[in-house]
Amino acid sequence: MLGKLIKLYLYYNFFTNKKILKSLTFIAIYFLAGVIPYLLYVKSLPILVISIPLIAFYLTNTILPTSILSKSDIDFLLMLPIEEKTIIGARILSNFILLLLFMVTFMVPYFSKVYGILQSIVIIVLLTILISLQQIALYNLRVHLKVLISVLILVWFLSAIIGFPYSSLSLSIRVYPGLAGLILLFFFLAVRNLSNYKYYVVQGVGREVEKNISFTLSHPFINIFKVVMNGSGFVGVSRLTSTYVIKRIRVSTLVAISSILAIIYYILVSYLVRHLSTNHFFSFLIYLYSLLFMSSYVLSYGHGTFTSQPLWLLVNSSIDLVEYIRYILISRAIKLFIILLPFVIVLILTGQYGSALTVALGFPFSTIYITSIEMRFNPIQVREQVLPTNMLTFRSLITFLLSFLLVLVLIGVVVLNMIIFKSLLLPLIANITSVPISAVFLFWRDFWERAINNAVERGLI
Amino acid sequence: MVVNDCIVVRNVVKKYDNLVALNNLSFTIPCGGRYALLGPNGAGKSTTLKILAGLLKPDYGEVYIMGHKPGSVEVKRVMGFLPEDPLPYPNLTVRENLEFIASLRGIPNVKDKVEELMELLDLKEYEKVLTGKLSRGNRQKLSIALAIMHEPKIVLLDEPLNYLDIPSQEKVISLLKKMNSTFLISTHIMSIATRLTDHVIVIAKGTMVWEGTIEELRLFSKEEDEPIESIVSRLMENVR
Repeated sequence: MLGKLIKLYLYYNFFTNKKILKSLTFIAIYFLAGVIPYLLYVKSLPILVISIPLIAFYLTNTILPTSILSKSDIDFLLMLPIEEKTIIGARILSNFILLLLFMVTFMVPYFSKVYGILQSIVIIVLLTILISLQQIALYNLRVHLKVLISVLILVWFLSAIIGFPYSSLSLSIRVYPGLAGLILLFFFLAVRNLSNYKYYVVQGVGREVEKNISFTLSHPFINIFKVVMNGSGFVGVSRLTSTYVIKRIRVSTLVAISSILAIIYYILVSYLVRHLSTNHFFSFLIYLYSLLFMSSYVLSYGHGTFTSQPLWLLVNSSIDLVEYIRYILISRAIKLFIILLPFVIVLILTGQYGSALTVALGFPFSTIYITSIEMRFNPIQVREQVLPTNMLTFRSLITFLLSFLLVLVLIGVVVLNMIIFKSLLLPLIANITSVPISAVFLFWRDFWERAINNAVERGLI
Repeated sequence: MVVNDCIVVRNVVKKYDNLVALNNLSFTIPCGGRYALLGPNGAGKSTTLKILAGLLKPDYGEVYIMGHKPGSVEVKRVMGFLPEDPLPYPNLTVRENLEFIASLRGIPNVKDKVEELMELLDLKEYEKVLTGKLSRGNRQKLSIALAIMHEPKIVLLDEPLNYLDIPSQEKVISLLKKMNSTFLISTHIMSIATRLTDHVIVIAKGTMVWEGTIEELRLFSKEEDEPIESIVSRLMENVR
């Protein structure tokens, strides 16, 4: 039965649902993140080649997919006359196999450059065991605790960059003892958790919201703006099942987070690089990754605009369809500008005026373009708190690439400008051009009528 | 302009890729009429309501709501629409959802109206709870309140009593019965149809197969005590 279940899980997750590939954004991040240091390989800092793909992969796999069993598993599979341990075991083993396939495919090229092929495979297998065990060992912790533990482990791994000899990835000693110790620790925690596995968290009636938003008979834009600024919809995933947790995140919280990240960026670029021999290379990498990080945020922000937007209330709002959508898109663009403002300030302080212009103007306008393309060709909606199934299809891939195009061009322009042209003119032209390209969607009635029709046909309401 | 028929559906065809959801569907509902839309699963009931609400465009045919095209601002002003399994803004509280839509509708005395609706539907104790964290029943009550808060002249409801407990069902039925609107209610439950409406439109495979009053429907009974569900079932079976 165990073998049958594993086969079923693998088939369902990989060949039919393609769950492991569902997040196209992550694949793009792994690819872009890994390829750049690989191409710019510096012999004095080999650990840099694996650091960025490792960060991206480790964090996304230890923090985000926190469930062992999905809601459907709990609702239906657990009702079958099969031992619970067999079901959970099958799930864990199939997850491990998929993760290992993914890790070997994406990580071996980078690791082999540093450790050689054989040793890379050993490290990657150990890392996969670590990630799989960590998911189970920490499944019932709150997200911020998981983030803290994962970040601490990563800092320990990557302390090899500054020559810390006891890092588990340090080249001065063998890598295995550190990893083996961690694996052993998580193994004991995982066994303990599995013997007392909880399937459900009873959500009950949620806590009351402390500060209510008050709506008055003002202009519709003001009221829609209030909604956009005060709520962030579905965030995070449930601790136990693949369901979203509904939480309101105010823009002030997001600004606080982006301020901290911007300050870290400023400190890294301004001070830390001075103490490293390869400061220009390191500084450029940090700059590039900051842009990529922001652009991936812009992309997911744009894609998320309508995921929790009840379309049926468009009918009950007595506002014109295009007017309603226009107000939402403009509000979201303003919100993004406010969130990214700390980065704009820091980029100006570090003399990156072209990039500052792109973050301040190009990125907010790009969200209008991204949202419009995504909504028209590949709309997704969160319903009943269950993660939307984002199947990897030719259509979704093309839509993803098309929606990313504008941001990609803007980043390409500022990076090229930084390396070759070193003038503000090129970013200025690119950003000014991006405004009408995006703004046209604010007034395009036929486009939105087709988009809503398509979304409703796909079952979004 | 005097309009006698508040809802006009004429020769409507709607396809989802190769699947024909509506096939030359035609019916009219006079202003003030209370109609139930019945049909088996996949008959096209929800598609019909979404087309009337302006959320879907028909591939062919004409639809008019009080003489206007669905989706126009003129129609939105007078229409209330409740889809099946509705989800209001999950990251807004009950009160905020009501205030938000009320203010967008331009309803005077927003706060008073919201208070009234919350009292009416027993939502007061959840006013500060995020909608996404409500039980399905309370979410349904909130959705009904959002759909009818402006006392619409045209009311489109898709399974309005889903998830409601019996006292809540009675409250909603009483609330809807007091309204002098034109109703089109899609439902599978005949007791709802008989209590909220007096006319029935039966559709199957996207086409209207019967229309008439509930009394006329009862005339089809083979035995004296034949339940109305059995009669409707026979009507639908005949089309399959």
